[in-house]
Amino acid sequence: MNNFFSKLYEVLFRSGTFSDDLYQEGLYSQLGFIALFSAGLLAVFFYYILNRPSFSRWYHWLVIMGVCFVINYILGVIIPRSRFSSLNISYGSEYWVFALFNGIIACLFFTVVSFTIRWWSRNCKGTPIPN
Amino acid sequence: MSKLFIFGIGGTGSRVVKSLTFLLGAGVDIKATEIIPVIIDPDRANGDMNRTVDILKNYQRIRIRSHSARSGFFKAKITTLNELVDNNQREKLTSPDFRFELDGVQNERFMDFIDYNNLDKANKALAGLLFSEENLEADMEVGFKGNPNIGSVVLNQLKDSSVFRHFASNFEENDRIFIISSIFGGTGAAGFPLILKNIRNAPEDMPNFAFLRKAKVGAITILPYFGVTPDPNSKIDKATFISKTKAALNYYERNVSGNRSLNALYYIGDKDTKDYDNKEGAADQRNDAHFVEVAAALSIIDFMNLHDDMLENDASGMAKSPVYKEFGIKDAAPELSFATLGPLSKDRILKPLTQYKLMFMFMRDKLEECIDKYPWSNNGKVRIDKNFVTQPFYSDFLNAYNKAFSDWLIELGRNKVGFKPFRLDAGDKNVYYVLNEYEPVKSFNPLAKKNYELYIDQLNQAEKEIGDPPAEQKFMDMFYYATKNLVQKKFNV
Repeated sequence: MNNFFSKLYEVLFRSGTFSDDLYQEGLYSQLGFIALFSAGLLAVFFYYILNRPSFSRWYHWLVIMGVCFVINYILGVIIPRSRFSSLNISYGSEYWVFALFNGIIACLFFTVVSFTIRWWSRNCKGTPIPN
Repeated sequence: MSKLFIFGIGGTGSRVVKSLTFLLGAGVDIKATEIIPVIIDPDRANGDMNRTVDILKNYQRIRIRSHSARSGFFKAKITTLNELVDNNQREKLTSPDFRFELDGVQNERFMDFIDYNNLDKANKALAGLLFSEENLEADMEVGFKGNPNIGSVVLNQLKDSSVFRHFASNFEENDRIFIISSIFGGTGAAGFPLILKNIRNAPEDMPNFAFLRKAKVGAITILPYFGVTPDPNSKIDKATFISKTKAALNYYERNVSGNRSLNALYYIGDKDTKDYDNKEGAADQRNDAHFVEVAAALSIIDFMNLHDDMLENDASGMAKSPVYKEFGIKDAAPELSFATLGPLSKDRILKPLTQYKLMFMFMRDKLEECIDKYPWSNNGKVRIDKNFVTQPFYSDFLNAYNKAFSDWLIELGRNKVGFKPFRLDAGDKNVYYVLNEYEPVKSFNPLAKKNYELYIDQLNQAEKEIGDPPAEQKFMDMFYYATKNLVQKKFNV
């Protein structure tokens, strides 16, 4: 899976040794799974647990997507930095740029999962855009 | 199940039919395949009658477009006699809608109707014994003004009318007949025994005369339940209501109940009366709806629930064991609600009326802002969109019917005795405090959906279940399904 996720991430962002180190440490698959899992969890929460008429408009969906982005942005900084710190490797702005794309990829996952599972939701099946 | 022919006589007959229509619109069960109301009132412009006819027409328009096998609201089929007969006969029928048009009463005095001036001396003397000068001079344009002696002569034309023949030709063996009349006025008191006599003594040249003679006939006779303000210029005087009632009851004792002509006879009245403005008839006669009329409508539902065994006739067509019933309430209170009704009445109307009231509230308060926003409106191939609410089904028929439904509830509430089953101030913040004297089930879950959010949630669920029938069906079925669940959840009924 590391290969799969590295290709996905590196379509959007590749930064020399930083990307190589992410690959070597298997962080692409780790962060990819976290992004997929968190996006899925938030989509299930939005469509089936919250599932409220008063929170079913497109901008409510965007709020949840924003939460997904923020979680994955933060994890996109913390996880690589702590791993590389323990290996005495230091990078600067790469963490922040990579985290930005980690958040974007999580949002993509959230969109895909949303459009896959929304059909069976009682109150949000037309969110973010009506069928 | 069989057809039910209802003869609603006079203003009270019209108002009872109106109450019955609202009960049926809300989905109150009635054991009849088809209901055919015939309203008999010489006063063509009568406000009460015309209001009832408009409501019946809208009921039909709504039902035709929205009925399906799973319909809850408007499930009973209401038909005019005109719709029942085939095209060849239809041309000969003089009354095209729910009204029975009486001949010879428009712009005619009673003395002209009986051709008084051409009577010989002996017959003039006899007419003078039976009718006062005032009776003979009476203009019948606005009815019989509380004179049953005039009504009994004029309404006798019913048996020779095309309406009565078509009624007879469409009457089948197991069909039932119900007659609604008041006993303290003119038209009802005169018309009831006449119709009954014409049914029981149907001549042999009348189609299906044998079925008519042995028909299962029920009736409600409505005793005084309102008064009229004294007016020296009016022929109607409430002081005569009781004496007229006594006289009519005395007559019925010998000619209606006494001879077992009826299979079931219901009595109702109220001593706690309110005085209406004294209007002799025409468009001005638009009395407020009254609980007695709702109870009278319930008698029709009760009659249709009576088993055939209880309504058997002997070989001569007379009832073997007539049923006599009165209506009572659990608690006498100046204002009635569902809580003060007896268990059977409550059981029959609480749930359907509450469901319809909830639908009415949503349409009044919320529908416009919800259109195109939620799955019940914007999901599926068939949508309840902005176009739907501009179509006649919604914008004309349903809105007009709901306006009349709302007026009916307001009138019932302000009358004496008042019937206030619903709180009129229930709205956005307290939708389920809609029932007077009933608290909704409370939820202690802080995340539980409340008020209209719960309502929309149930509509969305309904949309999932119902799928994509034609839009009018989908609309009515969704609201029936959602309000049924809401009433169950919030009131445990």
